[in-house]
Amino acid sequence: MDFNLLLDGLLTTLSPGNLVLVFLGMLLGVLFGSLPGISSSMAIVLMLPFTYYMGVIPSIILLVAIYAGAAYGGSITAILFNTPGTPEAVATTFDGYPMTKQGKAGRALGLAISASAFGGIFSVFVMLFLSPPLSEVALKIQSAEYFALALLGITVISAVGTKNVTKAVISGMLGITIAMIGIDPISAAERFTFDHIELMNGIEFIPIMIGAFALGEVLNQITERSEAQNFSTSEKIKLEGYKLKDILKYKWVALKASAIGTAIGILPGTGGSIASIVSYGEALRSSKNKEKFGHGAEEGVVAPESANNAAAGGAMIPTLVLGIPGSPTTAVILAALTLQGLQPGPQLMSEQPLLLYCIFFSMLIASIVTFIGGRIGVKSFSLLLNLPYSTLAMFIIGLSIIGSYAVSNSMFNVWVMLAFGVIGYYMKKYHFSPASLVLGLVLGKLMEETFRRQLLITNGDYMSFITKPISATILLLAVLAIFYPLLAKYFSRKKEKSDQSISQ
Amino acid sequence: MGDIIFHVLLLVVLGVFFKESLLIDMERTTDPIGPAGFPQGIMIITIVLTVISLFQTIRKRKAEPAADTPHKPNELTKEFIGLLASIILFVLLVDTLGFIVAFILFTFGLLLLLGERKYGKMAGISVAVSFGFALLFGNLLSVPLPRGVEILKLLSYYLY
Repeated sequence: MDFNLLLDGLLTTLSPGNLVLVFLGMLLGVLFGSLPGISSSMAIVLMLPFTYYMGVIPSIILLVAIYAGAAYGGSITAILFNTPGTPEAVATTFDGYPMTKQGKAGRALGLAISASAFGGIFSVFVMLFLSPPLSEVALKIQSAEYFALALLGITVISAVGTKNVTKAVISGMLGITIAMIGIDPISAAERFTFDHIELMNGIEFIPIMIGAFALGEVLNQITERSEAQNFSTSEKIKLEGYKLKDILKYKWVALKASAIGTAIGILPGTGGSIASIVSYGEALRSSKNKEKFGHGAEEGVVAPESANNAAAGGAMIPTLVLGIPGSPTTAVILAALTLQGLQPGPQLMSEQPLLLYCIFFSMLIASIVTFIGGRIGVKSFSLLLNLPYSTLAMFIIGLSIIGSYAVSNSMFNVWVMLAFGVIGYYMKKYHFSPASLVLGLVLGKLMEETFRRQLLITNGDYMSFITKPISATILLLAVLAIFYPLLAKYFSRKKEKSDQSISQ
Repeated sequence: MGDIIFHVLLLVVLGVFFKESLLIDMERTTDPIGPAGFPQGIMIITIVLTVISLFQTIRKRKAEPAADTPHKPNELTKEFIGLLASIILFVLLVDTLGFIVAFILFTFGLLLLLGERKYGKMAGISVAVSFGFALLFGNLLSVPLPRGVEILKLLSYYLY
């Protein structure tokens, strides 16, 4: 590593003009990220025209800071309103919103800020020191491993922490089935479109997610409150104080989630949503208090938030080193580099070393100043919490409608949101799992594509999934996760019997 | 009982999807399972699991006949149905009335439905939220919000 360049990179990023861009980008990222339907990739696309007249380094610094801010922003509405601002924040709703219902919104948001900053800083250091070797490893991860990873993501969350495993697995499978709607990516055949042109591109998962979580929750609150005719008061949600040192209690959870997030972020085509789901599953699997998950476990907020921010940094590694985007957002950043006349790829590191160090430092500074931007975002949204429930419900539904519409500027998505709001409500009522449904949706396409590609490469050899050591290990973990509830029941019965025999 | 009906509806939907999967064009298939193989496999597993879950539910219901307690929240309230109806109305009217007018009516109606009776305050909130959303999404984020027809369309250009 060239330390002179490193120092140059730091000084360039710290120059007043660039520093202002880092702050501005991070604030915009937090704002856009917190609005449902506005993803980080959309936020960057919206800011692209402003970069046309900037130099290469300032423009990339601005876009990278937006990326880092948006990775955190999604958690604000996920925690406060059960409405994930970005797909990366889906897993944050699982425990973040229950914490809000218990009056611990401030603590959940504080943990999310700290975890996001931790994940972001972790991935920047990995990016700084391990970019070239990690990119080579990432290229060795192939279809079989991707498939195994997607399967693990679904099974861990479906199997552990739900009231009814069968219903959770059914929900996940339904999500995968819905993800199959549209044009088949391999043979270009139409599937489940029922001759509707709107279904040709498949169903966007953001309206489904908004419907199942946000509208479903409003319907749930309305049925509960209509019995008591209590729409004038909000739940007693207070933003209790939070100290930075509280994250130290979960340092191992944050560290593990950041490592998982960075590793998954590096894999081309994955991104923060898969990283947060897998790390949530891992936090749940390794926790001593599994029963708390889904009911406001603090680790359940720390893990996905560390992971999705770490994934943002991780995804930058193959983008910058190999020219292969690690996530949809980095694909947009790659396009921005091309707009500036740069040729992304392995030669970028040798041709533009200063730019790379500036990117590293702007992500690092953006992650640190997330503490400030995050608090501004939280303060503004928290004002809404003091409103009567009727006004709050109106605000959430309004945000859900525009959020669904804005995904592809189509009212069809609002119909989808409405339908899945009702489906999500009944799923929750009858102990199915809307969370597993969304996981199936997010991971379904990746699962199918990688499964079929592996069969295509190996001429239909199904054994190839278990003969490769990495994929075999991940698949074994997935199988263990599915049978975990049965095994746990078996061992607890065995322990009870042995305790009884000892007492006799 | 609702749980059983939900299972049956799920089986019907899965049946429709499975029937549709038989119509998928397999002529251009290059991989061993083709475009229909993966979804069909997933749906078969889902149908089997749903049938198992249905039997578990029926068995549980027979064992605990009072499982569906009358205390459970009822969806047949004016708030629940009204909320869904108001979203449907909004989506149907927004292309004609434009975002601002449709959203003002929608939010006002929603507040009324949820028990608010201070009409001045309700009107203020509806107008502020509608203009706020239009400026944020339509102007700042360049989301092409519906503009309505005739004069409403012309007026919308002053805002977003």
